[in-house]
Amino acid sequence: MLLAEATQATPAIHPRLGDPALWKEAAATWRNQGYLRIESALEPGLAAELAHLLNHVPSAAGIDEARAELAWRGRLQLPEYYEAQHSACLWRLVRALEQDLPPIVEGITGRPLRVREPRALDVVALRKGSFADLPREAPATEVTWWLGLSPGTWPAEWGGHLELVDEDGVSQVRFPPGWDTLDLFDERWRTRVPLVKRPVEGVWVRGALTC
Amino acid sequence: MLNPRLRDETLFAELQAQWQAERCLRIEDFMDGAAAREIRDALRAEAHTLTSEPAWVLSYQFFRFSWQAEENCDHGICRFGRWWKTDAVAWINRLTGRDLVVDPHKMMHATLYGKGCFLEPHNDYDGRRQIAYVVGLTEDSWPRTEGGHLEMLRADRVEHQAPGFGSLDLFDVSDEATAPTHRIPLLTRPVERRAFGGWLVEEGE
Repeated sequence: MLLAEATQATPAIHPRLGDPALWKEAAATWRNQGYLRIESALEPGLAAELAHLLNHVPSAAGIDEARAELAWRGRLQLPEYYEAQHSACLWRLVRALEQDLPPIVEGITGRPLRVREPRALDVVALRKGSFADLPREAPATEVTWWLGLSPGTWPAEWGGHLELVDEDGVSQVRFPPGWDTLDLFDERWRTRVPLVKRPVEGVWVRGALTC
Repeated sequence: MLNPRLRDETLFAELQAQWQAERCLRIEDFMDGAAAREIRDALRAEAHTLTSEPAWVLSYQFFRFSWQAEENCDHGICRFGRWWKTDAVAWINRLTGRDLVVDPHKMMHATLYGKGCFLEPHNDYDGRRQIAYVVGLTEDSWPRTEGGHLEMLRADRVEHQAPGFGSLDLFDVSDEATAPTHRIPLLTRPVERRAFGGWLVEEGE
């Protein structure tokens, strides 16, 4: 069975995001600032299913030297073809990222895009003591996405907010940890997450779309 | 490795009196500088593993390196380990009036705290441990507002100990009622806080 059949005909992204009129409005914002936060990004309920499942994904605290990031990470690699032993909500997420999202982001950015790493889900949790210091420079062909599945949010002074940093290293935008949020940003922005100072947890699945 | 100044009987008697009164003691320059640098450098060459636990009982995050001090091995950490188990513990026993040993069932542990590392409040009491020890191997210094200092949380005050180099911290953890609750607050700057630590227990336990 192919992925398209397995994940049914209905989009796994929120139905309202399929409206091209919405893309046109977002396109103007994108041109000006190169970033967007989409609230209630997934089909209703999918975020809750994913959060429950991802809570059980084996993860380990580790340091990613390239990002100067200390975080809890886990990686899921789904097979190329539908495999019923993997939870249905993971296939719904794959459907959202690989089929539903690219045309929407293309409508907003004007770029033909596809998911960079098919079936790969990088899950990252930032807990007390986590940080990502070294701003990551994205290739010019990419649109980076962070899907927020954080159960709660907190003041920026506690750290753990996603910051978009300009080429001078100055933080210009700050996204608090979100629930069912999709943050998109282009190569104009690098990312930084200040040290988490309190016992809270921000959870994201993250990746990139590429030309 | 013991700093020669600690052979002075007057100083020793002062330290003994302080231990008897407070059951908690910081001795600066416990090790002579060259020996402290040697063990620090030997530990720097070893890969420390990030240990992180977000548990509800005791949450922590730091890097750790564990080893056994092998007999007849000339490696710096083995020589240090053998010295610690024999001469250093004998000195501590004389100071505290106890007859304790390094837990024979445990590895020796060195810790490394960098940015993002912390140790939440706990008192070390487990019924076996008698005296906790920490040998400081940190040459850097920084304000305690940036974390990484040892804090003793007393009922009426907080006592702060900056990371030391060649220093020895001792505290009595034999009694749950009096074992000092302590912590190392989140380190917010990229420094290298190194230490060697563990617990002394009754022989035969």
